[in-house]
Amino acid sequence: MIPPELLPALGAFAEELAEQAQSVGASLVESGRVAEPEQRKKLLATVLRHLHTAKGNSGGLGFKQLEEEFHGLETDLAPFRQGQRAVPEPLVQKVLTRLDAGIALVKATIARKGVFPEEGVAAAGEPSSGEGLVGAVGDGQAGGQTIRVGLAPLAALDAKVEELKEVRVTLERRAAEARRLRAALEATTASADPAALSSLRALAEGLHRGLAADVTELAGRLTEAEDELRTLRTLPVDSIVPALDRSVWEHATAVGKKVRLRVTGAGVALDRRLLEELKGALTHVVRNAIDHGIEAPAARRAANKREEGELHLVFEHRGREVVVLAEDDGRGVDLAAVTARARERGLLPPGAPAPTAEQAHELLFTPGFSTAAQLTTTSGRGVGLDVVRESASQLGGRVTMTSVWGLGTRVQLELPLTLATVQVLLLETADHTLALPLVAVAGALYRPEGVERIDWNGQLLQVRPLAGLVGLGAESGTSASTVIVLRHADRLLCVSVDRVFGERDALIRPLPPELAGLRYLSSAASLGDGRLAFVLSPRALAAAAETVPLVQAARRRRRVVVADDSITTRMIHRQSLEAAGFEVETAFDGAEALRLLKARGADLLVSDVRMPRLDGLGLTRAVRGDAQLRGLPVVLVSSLDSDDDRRRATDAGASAYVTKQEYEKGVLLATVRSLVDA
Amino acid sequence: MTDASEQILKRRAEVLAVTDGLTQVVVTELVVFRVGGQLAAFRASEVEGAGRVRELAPVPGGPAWLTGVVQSRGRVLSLVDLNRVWSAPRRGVADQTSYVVVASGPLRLGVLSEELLGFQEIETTLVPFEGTDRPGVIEVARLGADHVLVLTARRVFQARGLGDAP
Repeated sequence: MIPPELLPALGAFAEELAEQAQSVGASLVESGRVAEPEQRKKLLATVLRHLHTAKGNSGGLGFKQLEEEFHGLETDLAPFRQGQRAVPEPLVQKVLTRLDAGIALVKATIARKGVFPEEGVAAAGEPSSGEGLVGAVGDGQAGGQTIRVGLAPLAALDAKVEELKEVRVTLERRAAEARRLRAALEATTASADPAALSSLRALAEGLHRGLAADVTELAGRLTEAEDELRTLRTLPVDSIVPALDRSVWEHATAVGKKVRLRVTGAGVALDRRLLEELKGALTHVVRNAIDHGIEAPAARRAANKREEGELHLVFEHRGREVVVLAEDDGRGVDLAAVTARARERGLLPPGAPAPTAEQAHELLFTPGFSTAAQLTTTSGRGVGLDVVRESASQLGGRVTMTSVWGLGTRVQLELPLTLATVQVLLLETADHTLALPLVAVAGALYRPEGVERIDWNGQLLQVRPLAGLVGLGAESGTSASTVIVLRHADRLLCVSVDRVFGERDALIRPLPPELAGLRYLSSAASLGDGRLAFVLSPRALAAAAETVPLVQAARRRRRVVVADDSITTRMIHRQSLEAAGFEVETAFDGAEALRLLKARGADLLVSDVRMPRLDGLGLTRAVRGDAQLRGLPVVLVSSLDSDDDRRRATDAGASAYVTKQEYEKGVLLATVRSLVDA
Repeated sequence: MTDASEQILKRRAEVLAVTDGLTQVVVTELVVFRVGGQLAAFRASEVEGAGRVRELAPVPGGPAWLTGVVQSRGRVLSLVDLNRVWSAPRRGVADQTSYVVVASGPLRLGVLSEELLGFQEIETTLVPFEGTDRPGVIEVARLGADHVLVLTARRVFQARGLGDAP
């Protein structure tokens, strides 16, 4: 048992040991990579220095078993001190494991208020990968020196800043009142005692000036405090690199591969909590790249690549986001194998066309897909990618993947810069002001009265009133309203709301425990003016509403070229087709339409018959005569309704002929859909 | 308030009005406020602060006792209307312009009040409250000619199903 007077030192010991473990791990891994004995010697000197300090601290605090363990490690490493030989991998593993167990032992002892766990070092707990208590505290910079800042005081400081903001709002109100008072006095000057009024006016003037100065002073101090707080909240990416480097080394060694981690942008500072979460997600990305991307040395040699694969992590700020790229120079993704696997697992409907590269990569994030890929050891990726997507989603971000067969794969994570503020879409429904995380909003559009489903990129989505979903009103209704398309994980859903106020940066407040049971509410957003808006949980909404798979819905928007010499008709066609989810480009005559079709292609052509320069029949014949365009569906629209007119259209090669009378009955849209789907 | 409860309060007030010269007088520190036209109080040790109701946000799907939430010291604070807890006639939110923040263990609540009378030192012995229609009330105190219902945060939390408070 630790003597009571030494208990306060245990926390610091745990933190220092975690830092030492991190440094030992990084130095040992690096020592296995360098070729120069002198470099290796320096790295070993660092390792032994840390172990020696850890041994001394352990003994001083009464961790006798730990002291012996570290002494044993020093003895084991002594023959390699001069750097002539690399430390064998099993010994590196032993050192790292013992250090992890040591951290776990100290943490367990802290939890037991100074009583040693009976199990001892080896079974004190799961290895902690060296992060230990470092995750709960962190380093901030103060005058070039490192200081430790606990998360609790940080949160208290955060709360103080918020209180200051409230004071500022109050002061601003007071200043406004003083201003009104002064104005009221000015207005009544004529009807009262001039001397008394003059005195009052001077008082009001002084009050207003004083308050205005106070507000300015407070605002300045508040900004300074917020800047300081922001600095304290962030850590450079550097701080997680050693743990990732170690993870790369351990995993590559375990599967018989050689992989080097390269990091660009390690100086980028990120919110501490974001960084901690990011580390977990990146560990999955790194392991996935080693397992399925980077080839074994023999395969790399055969492919004329260096034996040692490279995993390159790039961190960079882009506006309000941080973008993390994880690029490997492995074999990339075998899209044919992914497609075959997706068909086997029923992820692609029978007879469906082969997915695009984007869709095939997206399939790898499907939960459950990865397991099959792993079991059958095909070249498809996927292990843990669903976990990465879930992590990114929880952080309010997104993840995508691209690859080039034979050359490598890139995973791109886009995350908000800070977890303290998020972008929300502010809306009103059933007299409640509510918010949705903007990252979950795929789009918003107008829903005319009577419409139950809306077309979103070719996918029909059932509209549900948001008020009904969250228990504030009727569960169904088709009145005219704004509808919001939400994306959660791999699903889409659509809700109608009364009003959308727009986007807003909001400070996020956790909900108190008594509100934890309200499943639709995830947090509260402080809107900066004293108001709160509850942030709805896209996950809970998706669980309650009718959703459609994102892969199916996210297919490319079908492109339609509309040719008509009447601007009104062009506008009507555009409006109706775009509302149905098509991408529309218009041309004022047949010649222009042909130019557009040749330049940018299309999935369908809608054309008037009578047009200057090149009419609809001529345009259709030109399309049928063009090697690239001849398969394009063409719908001719005309007010001409005789059999001869229809026959001429058919002879020219039109796929369908719709009269303007039929158009008014919705025939055009149905025809377009049937031709595009066919 | 029921007739039975009125009777209990009157009886307690009579008891409190009598001093026999033998009973030890205790000084109790209370934070007193008015709710439903009645004086009520929490012991000062349970009170974390007070505030004016500004920008109340109703809670979608929230329980009936929960009037809404406000921001208080950088946190989300649930506001409870004792009139609802006591099934007494409801007062409009506009009448309840302030709240008292009480805490018990990890839980905090803002208790709405029509008027905040503030900190009071009462030199009297508190008498146990025997009524059953005022969940949260445990004692009755005398303040001048009025009687004060003394609540504990823990009992209020328990009355609202937040019974895991210590």
